[in-house]
Amino acid sequence: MAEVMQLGVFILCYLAFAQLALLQQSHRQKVWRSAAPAPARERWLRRSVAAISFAGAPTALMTVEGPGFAVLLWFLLMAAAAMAVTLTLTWRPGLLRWLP
Amino acid sequence: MPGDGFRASLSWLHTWAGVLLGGLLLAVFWSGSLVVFDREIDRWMLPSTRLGSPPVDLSLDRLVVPHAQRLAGTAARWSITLPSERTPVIQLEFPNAEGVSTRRFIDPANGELLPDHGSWAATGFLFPFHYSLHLRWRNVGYWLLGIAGMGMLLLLVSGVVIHRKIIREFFTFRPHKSTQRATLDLHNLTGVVALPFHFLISLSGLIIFFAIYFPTVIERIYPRNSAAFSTEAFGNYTRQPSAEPATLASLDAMRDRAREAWGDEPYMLRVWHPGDAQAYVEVRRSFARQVTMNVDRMTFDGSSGALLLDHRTGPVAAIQRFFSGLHFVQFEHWTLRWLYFLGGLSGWVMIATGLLFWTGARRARHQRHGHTGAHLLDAICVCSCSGLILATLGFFIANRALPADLGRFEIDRAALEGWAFFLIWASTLVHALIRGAGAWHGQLLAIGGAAPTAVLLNWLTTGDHLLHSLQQGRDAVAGMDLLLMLLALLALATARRLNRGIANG
Amino acid sequence: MHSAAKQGRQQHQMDWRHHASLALRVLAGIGGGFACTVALVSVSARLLVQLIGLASHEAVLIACMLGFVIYLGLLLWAFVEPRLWRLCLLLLLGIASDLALQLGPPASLPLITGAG
Repeated sequence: MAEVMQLGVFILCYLAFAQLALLQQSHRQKVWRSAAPAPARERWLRRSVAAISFAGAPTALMTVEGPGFAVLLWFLLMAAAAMAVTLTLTWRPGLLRWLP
Repeated sequence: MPGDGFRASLSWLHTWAGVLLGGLLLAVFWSGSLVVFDREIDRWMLPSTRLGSPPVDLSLDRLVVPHAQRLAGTAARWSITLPSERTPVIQLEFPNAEGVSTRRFIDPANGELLPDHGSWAATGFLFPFHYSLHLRWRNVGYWLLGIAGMGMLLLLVSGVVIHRKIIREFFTFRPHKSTQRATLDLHNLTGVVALPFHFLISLSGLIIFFAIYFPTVIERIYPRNSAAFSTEAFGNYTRQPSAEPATLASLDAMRDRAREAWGDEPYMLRVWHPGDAQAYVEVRRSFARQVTMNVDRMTFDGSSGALLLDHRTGPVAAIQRFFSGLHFVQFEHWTLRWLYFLGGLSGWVMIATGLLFWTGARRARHQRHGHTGAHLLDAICVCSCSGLILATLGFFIANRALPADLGRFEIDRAALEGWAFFLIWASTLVHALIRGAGAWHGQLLAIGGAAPTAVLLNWLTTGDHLLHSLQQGRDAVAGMDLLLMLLALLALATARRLNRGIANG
Repeated sequence: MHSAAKQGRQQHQMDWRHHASLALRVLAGIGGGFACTVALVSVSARLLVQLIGLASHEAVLIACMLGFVIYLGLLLWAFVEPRLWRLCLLLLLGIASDLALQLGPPASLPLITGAG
């Protein structure tokens, strides 16, 4: 049960970081071949999704794990998620096209 | 240069601290990452301890005390560590006749004394290497670690300041570009995404040793009575022996009393001056389910079992012990344990790529000016990366290859394993000094050969090959074998990539 | 050709002073910074006991933990501060503050009665 929550939080952080990455021009060009800079509405949308995900992650963790473990897990899962997004952008940027 | 502006000064500091401390930091981060799984490595190196889950209840008086009285009847103290999931044996530690710390393991199911492998294994060799480099003379090892720790904090802060495009390049990694660009990208990536981890690991490591770095502060606040600090903060009780004999009261009764008082299990008992009238027994509370390494301790009189001191962790001590706990990683949490392992390795990659980037940038310039500095740095870099890995593999191979009964010839088998480690490390330095940057290829190939050799030796000497380990539920041994094979693959793949890089000019 | 050699020697002389100032900065920053940190930690621990009435062991723990952050700050400042004399002066002031407090009342007595 706890592992499922941890995996869920990892996926949440991954999606959040992906949203932030997709706001950056150099990465947009990798994912969609001919990409224009994000319009204001898209920027607002992606940032909100990221913010909600980042806030949701530690809260979710706190409910299942103790506060000490939750904080440690949050830092480390965020690091792992950011690394995973970077590696996706490096080797399989097309995968991120499937994200909303 | 320092003083010439904020960013320029910190850029200078980052370069110099990195160059001077890089090798040391690599040794600390490599051993630190390994030691996250020290108990699992111990199962691999001490085959007789590859037991199943320990029984929930066991009698120390019946299983441990007879062995302790026989092996350590006159010792100054016995440390009895209760079994856990990761360490399925009872550990009895005591100073032997020469005062050297000695460990024996006891099967918790039947009280049988397990054969002495004559090995310090990971907890006895790699762990002390991590925090002291085995340099015990006047605490030199601890002070070097202190310099490394403060240096790491400086490097992290200066690194963030001098990284101009930290937001723009947050998700950037371009391995297809030039080697220098790819190296710098990887250095920045591993540094930035795990920045909180690297910072907290370094700071917490320093905080663990606060008493070694600030002894005068304790003396100043506790004039003529520094031991009182230890008692007030951590519940350390001491009293001198009386040289009058007395029998030891029931350890099980003391353990049960502590368990009732805490509502939680103890993890260790320490018997001071066993057999003496002034003996006393410390029972320490487990911290398997929390980050804070609590110092809840109950100390009992050895002959009567009366309670002498019931110490609970104070709020401020809890903060220091929280930092210790987040560094020691002694809690039971597999996800966090693996994340720590990956975090430590990412720190190792960060430092290695930093050094490689600097030596790559300087090599051309130094060759033009005929300086030998770059060559020495190259050698130190190789020696601290592949060299140290080879030394570790040598340690594992020696553990499996050396015959078990060397004790017959008055040879300290455990020390021989340690010698294998240091001699191999030294020879990799010599190899690197001779071959320069060309030493990488040879050492990577050696890793590719040595790691599977260790796996093979494990099979030959214990019969536990990978499928068998998985079948028997010996996950620690299986995990070790798997990671060794993965290491071999990574080393060979890197060697091939290096070759192609050289061939392409 | 003669003047170029003379210029080279002048350059070398400037480098000598430059190296000396750098060496002084490193010694002051690392060694002096540590001495200053120990002094400030000592002072903080005493003040925590005497002004806030914190228990002695708690004061020691808090002050020591902060000590590492203080040292980090001093080290960074040592390499960033353009004026070397200012660095040395402030480090010495820190070390002196500890000596000054030593001449005052003993550390274990709270200065303000009723506190702690």
